[in-house]
Amino acid sequence: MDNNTLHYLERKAVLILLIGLVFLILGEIIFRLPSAPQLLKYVSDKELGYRYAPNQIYSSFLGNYSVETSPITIGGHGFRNGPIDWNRPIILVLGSSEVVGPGLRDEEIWTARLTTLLSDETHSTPLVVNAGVGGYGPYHSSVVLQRFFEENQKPLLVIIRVSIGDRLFFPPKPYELRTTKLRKFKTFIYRYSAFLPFLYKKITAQIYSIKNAISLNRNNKVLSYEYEKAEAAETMWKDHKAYWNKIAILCEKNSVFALFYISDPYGTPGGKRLFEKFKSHFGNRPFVSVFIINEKYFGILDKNLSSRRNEFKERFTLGYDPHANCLQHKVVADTLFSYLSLINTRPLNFPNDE
Amino acid sequence: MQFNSWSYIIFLITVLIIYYYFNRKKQNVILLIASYFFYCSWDWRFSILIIISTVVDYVCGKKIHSSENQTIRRRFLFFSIFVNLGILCLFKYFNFFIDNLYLLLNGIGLNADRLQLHILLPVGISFYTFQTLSYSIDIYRNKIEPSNSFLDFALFVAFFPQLVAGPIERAQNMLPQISAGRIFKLDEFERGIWLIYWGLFKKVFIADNLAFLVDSSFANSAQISFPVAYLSLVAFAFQIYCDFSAYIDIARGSAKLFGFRLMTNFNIPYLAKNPRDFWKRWNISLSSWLRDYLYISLGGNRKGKLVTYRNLFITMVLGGLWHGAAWNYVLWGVYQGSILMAYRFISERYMIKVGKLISTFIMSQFTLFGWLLFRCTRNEIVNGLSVDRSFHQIAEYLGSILRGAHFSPEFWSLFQDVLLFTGPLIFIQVLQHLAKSKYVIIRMPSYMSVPVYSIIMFLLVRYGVQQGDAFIYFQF
Repeated sequence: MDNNTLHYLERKAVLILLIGLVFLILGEIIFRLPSAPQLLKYVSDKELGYRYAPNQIYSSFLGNYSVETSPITIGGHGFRNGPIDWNRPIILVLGSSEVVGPGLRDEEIWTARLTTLLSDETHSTPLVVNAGVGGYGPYHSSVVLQRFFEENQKPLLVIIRVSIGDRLFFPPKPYELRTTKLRKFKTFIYRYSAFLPFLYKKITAQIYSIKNAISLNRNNKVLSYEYEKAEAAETMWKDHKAYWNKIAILCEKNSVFALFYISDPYGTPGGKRLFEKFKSHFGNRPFVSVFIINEKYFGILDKNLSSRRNEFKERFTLGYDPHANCLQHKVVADTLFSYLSLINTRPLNFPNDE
Repeated sequence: MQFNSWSYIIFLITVLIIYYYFNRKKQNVILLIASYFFYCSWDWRFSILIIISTVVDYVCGKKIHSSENQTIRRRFLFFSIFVNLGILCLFKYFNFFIDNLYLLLNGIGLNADRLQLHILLPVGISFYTFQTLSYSIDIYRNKIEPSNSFLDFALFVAFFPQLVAGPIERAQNMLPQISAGRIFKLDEFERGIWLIYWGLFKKVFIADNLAFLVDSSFANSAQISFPVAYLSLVAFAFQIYCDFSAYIDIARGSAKLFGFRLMTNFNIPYLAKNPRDFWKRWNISLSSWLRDYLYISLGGNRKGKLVTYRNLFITMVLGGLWHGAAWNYVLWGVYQGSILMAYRFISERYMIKVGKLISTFIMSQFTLFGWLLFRCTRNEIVNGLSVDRSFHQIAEYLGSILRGAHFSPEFWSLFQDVLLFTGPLIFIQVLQHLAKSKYVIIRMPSYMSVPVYSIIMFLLVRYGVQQGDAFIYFQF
């Protein structure tokens, strides 16, 4: 390599470093402005691994951490609600991010809509509490429910969303609960920098995309839709049955009605198998009900699974992200409302407000 | 493999490393293999069509050149045209014609059973068929000689940076570059990197963000007010320009990294002062192809004024149809043909002097209306048939004029967003226009270029959409 080329490369290297520095400074300034997006804050939890920090309004970033959503309100309990008024009849909803509803406004999520529908129907004011947290699986839901009961906060009804999409949300491993040097460093960065946490999440999302891009394994589980198969449901049942059982027992002990609803929007063999498992295990228990929201409720009628999947993705997800859109949340709320009316559970016999 | 994906960047880097490890002869083989790999990542089955097109045109080119008998030369030319246009018509227009034929038959009371053929549209078919056709026609016209190397010709047809959405290259530009040695030049490499960087910015930051705004307005076309409708159309104008030019920039940038120069396809089209000027600035490779191989073949302007107008009109209608098998594209072509004819008629008869700014503004309004026709695509399934409802959507959109001209909070919010996403583009393009160079940023001193690069990078990271739509022109 001649001297001219070396000098040229040296100049470009310095230029790139300068660009990086100015980029970081610019990011730090802009992310400290009042209009900058507030990122979701977490607090660590010895049982759950993490919870949402209470009392915050944040913006989610979907679509590979690139599309900013409408602001999401997290209330005092660390869930997506305003303050919970325990004088009202409470319906507690447990689940993962699909219950949280990122990408939608507070009033668009299905739990808010179900509150409205129940209020109109019962002339009472039941409150559907959205206790979903992104990344929470059946284990986490059982812990959250137990805490509610331990704090003597007894809901009238507990709805648990069950989905094959949550099959990989296992209890936190011991090493995930330890305070490591890396975690301390991350806490330090979060405390003193406004831009670096955003940049870190953005880079993490890219690493995931790059790994997918270079993966030569075309049969990887996401691409080949292995999770739609009955075998995946069997595995999920085996892995998480204990926690669903715990939820059912907790409810029975407290005389609280539990409704497990299987989310299977475009009708997969896995969804059907999961529903069968729940039915056979919980079907005869007095305080437990099992329901499936499948393709017929979404009006997806094609006989071909691939066509149904594509229609679902196009009509009922955000497009840039697989999370549910407004229409899907409306269908879920309306379907659950109809189901609750049909089985005529206690929740519909709310005491009238005096 | 979308250009704005990690898959493409990893693919490009891998091919570059392998490419520069070998000498020129092997470089062409590597590029050919890479190009077919790239195309097969979309759908390997359609690579057969490229192979057919390549073989047919290579053989026809040889036969046309070697024969002195005009009849034989014409037969091989027609065979090449028949194969290329046949493939294009079958895969692109068959369903369109069948659907409309059955609508017509049902409309006049003849209830016929519809022939069901689920034909997928191969990516890039409109581009590579035109490219290979230009090769055969240029040989017939004695403008070029056929390639002596099948490998070189195959690479000309399948060169991956421009395979799926242009520019539609000419053999006289590409074949000499393919057969000649290519020398690595640092400054060309730097320009290639800049073009890719700038292209990614236009696609991921500008086009995909504007797409959200535009899609929302067009989905509510029956409700929005006139200012919102108008501003959404402006947003779409920028969206389609940034989307298409982004692809071209990434294509040209990628080609530069390998030592190739692809033709420019855009020249700040919204500064056009009249319809003729617009088509010298927008999709230049397509407009020049249509001029050289369709308009001139029909007679051009050599057979009197009426025939000239006819030729202009037919060329633009077919140009519209080239964009897609739908009536709104035909209507767009009719519209473009009409304003070209009108402009020609007026400019030949009247000496109207209009200032540059005014003429640019007037032309921009005509362009906006054209984009309305282009964007309004709506289909409904009626009795199992796909019925085009584009005209309904156009009518709904135009109906916004009757819904009042109030500047609602929705308008100002949209205005703010459009300004955020188009501001950087306008700034950079003004600089490029004044400096008469696309590479003005590279040439700037560091104290000026560093902030520009940093701001582009920040906007990309902060607002860039990564799960956005495919490039608009990929569907053609």
